[in-house]
Amino acid sequence: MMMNGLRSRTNPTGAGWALVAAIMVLAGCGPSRPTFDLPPEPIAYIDTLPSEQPKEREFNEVTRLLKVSIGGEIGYGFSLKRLVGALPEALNVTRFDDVVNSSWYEHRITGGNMTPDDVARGPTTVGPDTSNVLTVVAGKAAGISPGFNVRDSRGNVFVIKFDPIGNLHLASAAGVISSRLFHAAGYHTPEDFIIVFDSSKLALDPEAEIPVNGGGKRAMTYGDIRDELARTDPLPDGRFLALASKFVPGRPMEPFFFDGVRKDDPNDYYLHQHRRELRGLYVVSSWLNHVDMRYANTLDVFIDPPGYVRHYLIDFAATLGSGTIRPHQPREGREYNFAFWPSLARMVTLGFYNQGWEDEEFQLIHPSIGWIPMETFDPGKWRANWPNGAFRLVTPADGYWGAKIVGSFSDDHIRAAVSEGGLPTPEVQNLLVEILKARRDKVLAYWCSRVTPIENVSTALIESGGSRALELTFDDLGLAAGLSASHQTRYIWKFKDVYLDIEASGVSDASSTQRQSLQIPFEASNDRMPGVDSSKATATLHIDVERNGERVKRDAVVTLRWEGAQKGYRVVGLRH
Amino acid sequence: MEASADSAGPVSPDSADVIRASLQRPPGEPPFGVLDAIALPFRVLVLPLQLVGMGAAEVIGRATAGDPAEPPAFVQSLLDAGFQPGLGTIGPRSGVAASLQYVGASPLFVEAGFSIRTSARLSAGLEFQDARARLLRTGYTFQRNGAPHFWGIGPSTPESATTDYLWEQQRVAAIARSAARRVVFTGEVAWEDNRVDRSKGRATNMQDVPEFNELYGVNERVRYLVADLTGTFDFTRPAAFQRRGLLFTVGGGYFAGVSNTDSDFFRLNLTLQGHIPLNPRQELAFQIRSQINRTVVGESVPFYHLARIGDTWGGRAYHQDRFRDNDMAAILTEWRYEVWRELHGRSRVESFFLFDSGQVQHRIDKIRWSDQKRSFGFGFRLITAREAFFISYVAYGSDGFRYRVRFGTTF
Repeated sequence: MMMNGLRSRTNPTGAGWALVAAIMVLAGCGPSRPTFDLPPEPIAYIDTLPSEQPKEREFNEVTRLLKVSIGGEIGYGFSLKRLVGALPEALNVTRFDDVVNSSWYEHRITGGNMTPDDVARGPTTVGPDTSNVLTVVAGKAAGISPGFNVRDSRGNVFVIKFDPIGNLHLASAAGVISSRLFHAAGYHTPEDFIIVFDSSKLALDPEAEIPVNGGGKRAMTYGDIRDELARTDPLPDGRFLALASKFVPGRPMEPFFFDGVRKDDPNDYYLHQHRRELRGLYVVSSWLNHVDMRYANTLDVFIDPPGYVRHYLIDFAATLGSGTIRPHQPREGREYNFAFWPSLARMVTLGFYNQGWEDEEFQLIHPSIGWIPMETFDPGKWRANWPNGAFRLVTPADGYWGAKIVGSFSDDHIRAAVSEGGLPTPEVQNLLVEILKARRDKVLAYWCSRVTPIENVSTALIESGGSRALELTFDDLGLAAGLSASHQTRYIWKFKDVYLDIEASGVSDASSTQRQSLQIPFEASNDRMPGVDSSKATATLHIDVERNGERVKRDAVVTLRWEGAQKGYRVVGLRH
Repeated sequence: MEASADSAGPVSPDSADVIRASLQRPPGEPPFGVLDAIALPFRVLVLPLQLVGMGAAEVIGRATAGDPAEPPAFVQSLLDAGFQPGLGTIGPRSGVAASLQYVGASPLFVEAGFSIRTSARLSAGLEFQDARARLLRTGYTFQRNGAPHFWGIGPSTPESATTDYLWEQQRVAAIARSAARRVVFTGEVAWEDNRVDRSKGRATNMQDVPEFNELYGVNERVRYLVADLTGTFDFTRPAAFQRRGLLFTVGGGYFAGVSNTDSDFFRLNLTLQGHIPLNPRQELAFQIRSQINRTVVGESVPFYHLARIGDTWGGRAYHQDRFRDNDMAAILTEWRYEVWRELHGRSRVESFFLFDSGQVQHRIDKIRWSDQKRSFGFGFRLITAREAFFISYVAYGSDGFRYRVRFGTTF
């Protein structure tokens, strides 16, 4: 069934068009009819242009986190834009609602060419040589997990991190698996490996130092190494299992922030809270339960030559079911570590305000997996342990962008990444794979339900029974995600071409095929108009999807340009 | 145009600036729109609240930072020399006080502190303490309370009758403490010398009120030998972030007048403290306090040694020491509920509703529930990584509202 309404205000005959065109040519000018400008496009890798290295900056982590948690949450709570549902959209998006490759992000899994082996390999090149001496060169400078820094026989330096006692594999497996998945998702991550080594292979560099409480460092001793080894369980054969994270190439600087820009980095152009990659990171983080996604687990690295800052995500030990030194607690992923508004709600309700997790029984899925919810996972209500400026501004379009990344991971991709974690048995691996698959599907379903999730739009002018129509075909990711059956799905559309002066609207039912289509009545005479400049567009098509009788609040907007030479439309933009 | 990652190419930083300036790309920050204009007054209204929040973040951040900032050089040099500087209070209505303690030659201790209201404390002695919390401390203390308030004797003194006095006390004491798992006994033997004078406070001097000027202790130098024994029986146990159970303290002391002081009296103290968790996040806590002072021979109990209520002594809507008489009985209650807990359990915030009720009387059997001074209030406390308490509350009683901010422990 298709119901259409068409209105064409100027509908000259063929002879009329010829006359108009002839007059215009004689007058020495082209047709002056309305068009609209396309927004400028971001430019791939433009933020890798050479620059001087930014200066070191100092900050108090706790103060900064609390300022975001208190002052930031107050501002957000009273934000008029939030209250009226008009949070600003990300700025660095292309006309097709995507980002270009940059020092922040590169298309990998979404490129469609990554094999499970590629995902499993991740960013890794050469792992630590554990067959020779591992020289301990320093105590760990940051983080709460036990460990130290070692240099292998090849001269590569790694941060070694151990699992907590009683939870062998917990943090190491989470760290490696999530590192692979974040990398495949498109973010820059260090090379993380699972290693097994004999403690007799450890040697101490005479120059090695270890940080001390209260600041400063002192010389490291073999006793310090023994202390760190005593904070983890050895394997049954007496060797030790650990995560080895290779120092990233370049000059390490400090973490990046999720808001503002680094003013002394000329390549840092878009306010971070308005970067699509950082807002979409919320969705990927929610999938992998990276509750510790805060600026301390990021790192800016100066790549010289040519001289630019690359932005890394580091340390994934507090992901999946791992809280680094313990399994995750039910609160994690559900409420900020310092949650201003829920705390206020508890204060005024005598403590009776309940977020839902308070009375939840702690269930350890497996000592090597920890705790990661599957049935109770709500992708829209997931929270990192600390708020940040980018996650706070996530709009449905940002969420959908992130969900497309998550949805790009096939079961085999997930299985390949999990296989790198060194989990103790195939059963435990399968268990985690099933959890990640279920969470992936929930992420995809949730965010696809927030927008009109059409993709791969193409157009054609078709003739049928003497009448012409513009046919628009697309994929509906909502159908693929199982949000509705095709017979319970329809598309409400509205087309307007300011150049050809066509307006039409209608409703089309979804079909049972993968490709969906709309047919927009099109007057034959309109295709005689010449095309317009490539920086312009002429038409928009708004499509709302209605599933199971409920209309999604947010439409998709397809932008089209009339191409006179081809006598057809070119899709030049798509916003969700 | 697509730049190439990791390729140095011919582009210099300067020419890169030229390229960047010539680019057409989306704006780096959102344009100021209609909604921004509409929201502007709203944002201005919220700004003070945000600033308060930011300020609190700054304070909490500094207080709980894992690696505290290095102290200024002169403070560090004091610390290196064995001195511990401090900031706080040193007695009733002392106001802010600065103190310096020398601990560099343990078991010797020497301390000096001075406050903005002319209070002072000087002490020196020896202190021995072992790992089992057993303690032996002996030494001399001079305590000057610059401007404590006095409103008269009895349960019905008007708030408008506020007066000040100056109270100096010298003490030579030996304290011994024996601690077992649930029981702590503390014994003290002391000689004390008390003197009251005119204060330099803002209120009327109590000596200028004839009725007050006749009280024992105002015009006499009073010296006592004191013997005191207190037992604490702790039947509480930690339950996650709460305590549960009872803590019972009973003590008695005898003040024998010496050096022409014609006054002997004894004192009994009783405290019962209870913690009743209602659930893992809510708790009922109470403290019942009573004190009895009885003259044995001679003059009555000096006014500064009388039992009292006010503030944490059983009436948080009232000034400290607001009511005095021989005996007192009070109950402090709090319904505590957790508002926030840090994930790793190092810090938390709890709110509480408070209800206090208490009274002073010449004899304890005259205390009537119907005549008690009551306080109703609300507050919260922050427990930080360093186990310090920041407490803030507002309470209402017959004297009106009272708001307090304090650092320190609570029951």
